[in-house]
Amino acid sequence: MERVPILKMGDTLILTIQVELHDETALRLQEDILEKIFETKPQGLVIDVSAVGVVDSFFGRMLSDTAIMARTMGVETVLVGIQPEIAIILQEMGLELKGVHTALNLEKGMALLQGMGEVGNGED
Amino acid sequence: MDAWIKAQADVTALKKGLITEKQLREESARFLRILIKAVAGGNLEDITAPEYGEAIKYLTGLSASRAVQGFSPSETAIFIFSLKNTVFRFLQDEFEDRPAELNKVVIGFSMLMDKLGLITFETYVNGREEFIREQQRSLMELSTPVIQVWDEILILPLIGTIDSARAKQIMENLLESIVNTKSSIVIMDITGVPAVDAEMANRLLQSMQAAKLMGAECVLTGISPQISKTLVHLGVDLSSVITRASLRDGLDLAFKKLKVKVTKMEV
Amino acid sequence: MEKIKEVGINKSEDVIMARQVAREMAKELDFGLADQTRITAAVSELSRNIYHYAGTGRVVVKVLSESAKKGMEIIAEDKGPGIPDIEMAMQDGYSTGKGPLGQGLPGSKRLMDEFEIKSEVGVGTTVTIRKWL
Repeated sequence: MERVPILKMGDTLILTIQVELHDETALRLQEDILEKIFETKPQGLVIDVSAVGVVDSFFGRMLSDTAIMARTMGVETVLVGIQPEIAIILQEMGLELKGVHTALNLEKGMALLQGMGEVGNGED
Repeated sequence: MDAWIKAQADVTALKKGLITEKQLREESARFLRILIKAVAGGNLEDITAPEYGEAIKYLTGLSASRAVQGFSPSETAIFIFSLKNTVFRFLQDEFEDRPAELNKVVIGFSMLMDKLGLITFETYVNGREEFIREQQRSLMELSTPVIQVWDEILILPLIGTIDSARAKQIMENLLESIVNTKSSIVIMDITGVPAVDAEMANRLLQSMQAAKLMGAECVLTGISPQISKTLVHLGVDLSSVITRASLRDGLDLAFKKLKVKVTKMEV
Repeated sequence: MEKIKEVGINKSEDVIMARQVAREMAKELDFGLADQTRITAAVSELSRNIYHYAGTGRVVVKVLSESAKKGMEIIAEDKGPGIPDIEMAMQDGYSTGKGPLGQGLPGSKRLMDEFEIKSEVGVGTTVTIRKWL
């Protein structure tokens, strides 16, 4: 089965969804992410969805659930690269992505996490 | 022929700027030639017959172009109806001593002209509608500008009412602009919106939430006391967006968020 | 262009197949990117419902052309358990803020121009959706 690689860069876990996920691969990915968080204890998680061409309620819920699960393990999730048509569809379908932060691209996503870290350290 | 042109000119004279007498004369002469050819067969009833094809084609083309040029419906229809009166007078003289025949010809011709008149009217309306649709399209594009006022700051000044088609356009424009300018703050200004209803407020909220999904923070500005009252009475939940009374305050907030400081130059 | 295509839904990969077929056709018909994505999302939703609730079924994707109008029609049918209360299934969870659970049917309805659903308990469910160019 195809698996999405999860990389660790500094204190952050990064993964890019490039293949179309069906239900089993999606749930498998969720599993893998949580395992990796437990293993590596990162500060944040960035999921790059710029290559994702379609969403539906299942995929939206998977992302949102994963973010909430990660949060319970002390890790904030930033979704980066949501395409305009995907944002439109999430809105029109009334799908709320609870628990996730969003940023335009990977760079801004990393910066956002960094900012949150600072707040956490009481520097802001 | 001259009488017909004169009859038309009496009315169309009002719109002298829209058509020259020379042009009117040309158009009239052309139509008359085509019509005479069509009537020559003696058929005054069935205008769907092939001999009327050319006449109808010319008439529809003429009416459609007049609709776009800004002629009023009666000014367009007068083209046919004034011909009717002129021809009647002519027929009266011709058939002076044969009243029975005159009657028959007049009724036949009258019905023919009425049918042709209806065609001018129908095409006129279609032409007008096409014209209006065209204007609506361009108005829609004009009315939803997205302006980059600073690095990473977009302003969306909204004017007038926002129906669902326009809301869609606004959302698509906005999201595209966020990608193109890599903006992180969107200020949606509704100073130019006279009134909101629940549906419109929700459409705006949708756009702002979609922008947020793309990583842009949204500030809603230009909220008049009247609108703020309406929003609360309607129970619109604005907790997911930042709101400010004026565009100025919104811009100020955006600068702060981006850590930009605007100061007066020391002279 | 083939005017009609059918995808059998038996496993979760078939959901992906169904939406690829739908997107392909939408693209060939010259739908804009947003509409292509709307159609693909709706097809994903319907075929996933088949897979989840009925196990097997099929999705038929068709080109529509009526005089001046052109469009696409998608029929998703199964012989599954059926929906006992369609009205409830079509209810929008949006305003109650309960998250995306059960957003599938009302969500795909909003994405399309036309939406019809027929369902009988013990017999199956057929959903027909259309989008016009």
